[in-house]
Amino acid sequence: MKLKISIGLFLLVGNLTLVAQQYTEYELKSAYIFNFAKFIEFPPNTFNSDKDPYIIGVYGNEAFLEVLQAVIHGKTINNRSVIAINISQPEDALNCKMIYFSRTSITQALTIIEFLNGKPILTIGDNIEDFCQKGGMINFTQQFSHKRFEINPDAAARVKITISSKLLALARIVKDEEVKF
Amino acid sequence: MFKRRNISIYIGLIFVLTSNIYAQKEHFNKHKIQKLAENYFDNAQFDKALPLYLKLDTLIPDNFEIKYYIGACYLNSAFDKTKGIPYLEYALKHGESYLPNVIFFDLANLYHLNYQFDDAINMLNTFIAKAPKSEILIQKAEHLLQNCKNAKDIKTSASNIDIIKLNTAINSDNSETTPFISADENQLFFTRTFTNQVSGIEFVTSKSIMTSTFANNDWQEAKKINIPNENVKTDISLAGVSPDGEVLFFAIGDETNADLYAGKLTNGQCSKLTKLPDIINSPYAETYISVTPDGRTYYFSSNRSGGYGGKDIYRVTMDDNNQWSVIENLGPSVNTEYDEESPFIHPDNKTLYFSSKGHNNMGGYDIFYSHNLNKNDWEEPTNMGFPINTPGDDLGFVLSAEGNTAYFSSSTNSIQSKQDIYKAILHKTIPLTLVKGTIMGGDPPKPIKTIIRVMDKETQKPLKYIYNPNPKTGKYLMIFPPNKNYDMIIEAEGYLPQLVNIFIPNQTYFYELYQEIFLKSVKVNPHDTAIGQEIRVTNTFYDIYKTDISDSILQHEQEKHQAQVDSLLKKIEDIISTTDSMSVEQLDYLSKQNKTINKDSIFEKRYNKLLNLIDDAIEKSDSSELELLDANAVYNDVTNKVYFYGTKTTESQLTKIVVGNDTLYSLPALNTSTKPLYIKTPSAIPYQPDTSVIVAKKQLDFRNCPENKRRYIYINYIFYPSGKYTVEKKEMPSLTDLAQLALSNTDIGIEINGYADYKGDLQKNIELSKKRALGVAEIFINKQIALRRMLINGKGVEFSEKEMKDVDLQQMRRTEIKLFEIINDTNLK
Repeated sequence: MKLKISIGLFLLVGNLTLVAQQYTEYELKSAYIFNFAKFIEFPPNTFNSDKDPYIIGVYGNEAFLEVLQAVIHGKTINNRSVIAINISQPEDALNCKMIYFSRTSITQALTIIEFLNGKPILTIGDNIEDFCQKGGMINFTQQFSHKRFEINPDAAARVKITISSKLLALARIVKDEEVKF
Repeated sequence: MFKRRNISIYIGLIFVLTSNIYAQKEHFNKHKIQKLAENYFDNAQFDKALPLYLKLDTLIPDNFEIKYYIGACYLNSAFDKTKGIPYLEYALKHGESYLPNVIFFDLANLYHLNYQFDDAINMLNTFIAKAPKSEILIQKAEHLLQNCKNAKDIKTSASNIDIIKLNTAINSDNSETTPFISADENQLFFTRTFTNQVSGIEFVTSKSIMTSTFANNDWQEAKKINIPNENVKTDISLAGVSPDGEVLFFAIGDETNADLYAGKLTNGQCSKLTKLPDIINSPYAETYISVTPDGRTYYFSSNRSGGYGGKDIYRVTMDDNNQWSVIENLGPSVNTEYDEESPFIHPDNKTLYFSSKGHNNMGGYDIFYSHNLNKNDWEEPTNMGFPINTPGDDLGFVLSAEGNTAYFSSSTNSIQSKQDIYKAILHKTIPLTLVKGTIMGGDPPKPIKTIIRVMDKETQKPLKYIYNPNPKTGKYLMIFPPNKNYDMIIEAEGYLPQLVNIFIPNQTYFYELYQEIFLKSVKVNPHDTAIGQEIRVTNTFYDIYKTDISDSILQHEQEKHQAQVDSLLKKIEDIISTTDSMSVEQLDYLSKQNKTINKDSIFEKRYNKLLNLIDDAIEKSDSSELELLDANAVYNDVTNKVYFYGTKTTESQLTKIVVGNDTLYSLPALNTSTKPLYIKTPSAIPYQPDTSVIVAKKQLDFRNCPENKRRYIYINYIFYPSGKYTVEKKEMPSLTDLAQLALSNTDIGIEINGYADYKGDLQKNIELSKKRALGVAEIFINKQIALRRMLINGKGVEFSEKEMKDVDLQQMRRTEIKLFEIINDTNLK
């Protein structure tokens, strides 16, 4: 019996190499975004009711939106259903709990962030230069970077969003000392 | 075909045996019913005759003649034909010597439909042996005999195919036929036929052309497509769909004279139908059509004269000058003396799927495929096999571009008037590239109205299709065979035409290329007019063979081998599930073993796994897991280029392109990388990028660039009070904008020319002009622009012959900032 098990484990490991998976950039980033939600805390009463869905807004990239929708399909966060929407005008952003800026210039992203006017909404940039330095909260870095993303915890704290230390431990921390208001 | 045989004398005998009054009344009733049934039967109204004979059967049980008529009615009705078997068997057993020989042929037909091929063969042999030489049915019996023999072979060598009936969003209580899909399988089109039964007779009340979208892992509720030509209600059916799902073809008319029409689909609305040219439509019936992805060759079925018999398959090609070739009959390899119908040319341009009654059939129409060998030379067709083919009619087979899934309609229980749509998973893949693209413009990007034309780079021939991405979503779909270069000419509203070259590599299996095109105007500041445009093309050449989808194919191939290790793995699974020493990934793999192959559930599994991996890594703050995922991910391959329009229109960079009858002026081509990305072997060490392929960008020598090699793209001036050289505060925003533009476009140089007015000491003025230019340069240097990109000149004084007013003098005290590109002939290639 013991011998059989060890043969089995060997087969198992052998097969795992075969199925090791390759994900696309969009799939990977979608999965990060979904998981960020689990490691951040919004101030109390952010949601109007227990039934409010968790809305993720995507600004500037509908192709990404489709992948995100497929990845989060049927998923929940704290028993809330999760939906992803396209943001075509600043007003759409106000209903979201997270906004992802993709294929967007820093100028455009800052226009939206200013429009949010201190509402507790997590802002995430897709490798946007100086995103966190200028007041964004999380920014994905380039492939093969030392860290996968950078975080400006102060920017989050200003709108009373708490980011878990577990997430911070994985990020390059960006201070907002340089932020000019 | 079926005639009532003169055997009613036997029924008459039975009626005479009844004698009392009650019996006489009953006899009268029976007689009336019998007369009516005979009437219907003689007029071939079998659906009406059947209930009457069934009633008679209850009144006069155990009568072989009535049983015989019931069997014959079932055989010819729209009801489940095989229900006739026990009736004919009874009739044969009890009245063989009284009944006509044709009963053997009739029963053989029913046995054949019921997959009782050996019984059918026995019946047919008896029929042929007993029938006189003059019997006209002998030829048909011999054909059926061959079908039964074929069916036995085909059924025993059943192919490895999974058949799935589509959900109720597609299949209703009505009849669904003629399924067609877009090549990416995201859109399904079909015909829904509504029927009504009056006194047992079913007739078609209306037909609707329906469409459904694949979303959230299933087909969504089918919606009706409105056809503007509303005069057609019952005599219209879907005849074909272009591979990109943009053009619908319809057959309008009846069995004797139907013609083909085309309509363009935009946002679910069909344009007014246009009749296809006379070279395709004849005074006979054209019923199905299939178009190659380049939109040049049309395959269609027609019963026009001059063929091999019945319906034949033809093709016609449009040449470069939009002239039609001569119609070609596909020849005797494909066409037979029987009917050939519903051709479907696969996007690989080589494999033709069609239905035929005349090859090695199981019965009725069977689906076959044939490969094109050369020009109009076709390989001997191959039967698609059981379970796709059945003894009944199998028609309208379409295959996805990747070659793994097919759609077709089939009747259940041999009720021909009630069909449903089925999906077949073939476990195959075909070497094609499906380009799924999105085009957007602006910042933030939004879908824009665009026309895309595609040219074969080698032959410089345009492909006939012009792609019109959906203006609401910016999406488009194109299919290309391997190992070719294409030029895409993109004409987007508000932008100059743009040429993009894509290379489809040589490949032996199916790829999907996800392409995203972003166009953006380049402006010095948001309120200015555009001075150029930027294009970003990301090609994610997704090697589907290396993903779970292909794993499913591989998995299927390896199933036998896996079965051997399955039981062992199961045991280990039990052991593992009770401990916690294995990761989710491994358990996930184990649980996959006995799964049926389902694309959707594979995706769900794939994503769940990814979500869990990342959740786990964050929970443990384990960056090595994330690094590994990142290193193995397929990042989008972005190619971008900014084209500046230039300040002089004469220095245009535009290239002249002739596409058919149109002449376009396009910006130079952008060569995009479409290198397929492969799985890198996972290891403990994160994957390192191959730095050897990254060639250091050659620094442009702006400072030694002669004036005639400078192409100016933007000119700006700042002005000074008399004698001053520091830049005034009000000029700062425009300098910041310029610096920003220069920072994001490293290929542009900055020429800074300082000037002074002519009043005062000349030498001092020359110094002043230098200081003005240097002052501006210093601001740029402080904004992180390299000094090597700047040409700084003190131009001194511009003299004028006339005495100048103060206003004009102010115009002279300036610094001129000119952004330029270096004209480089190789730059244009």
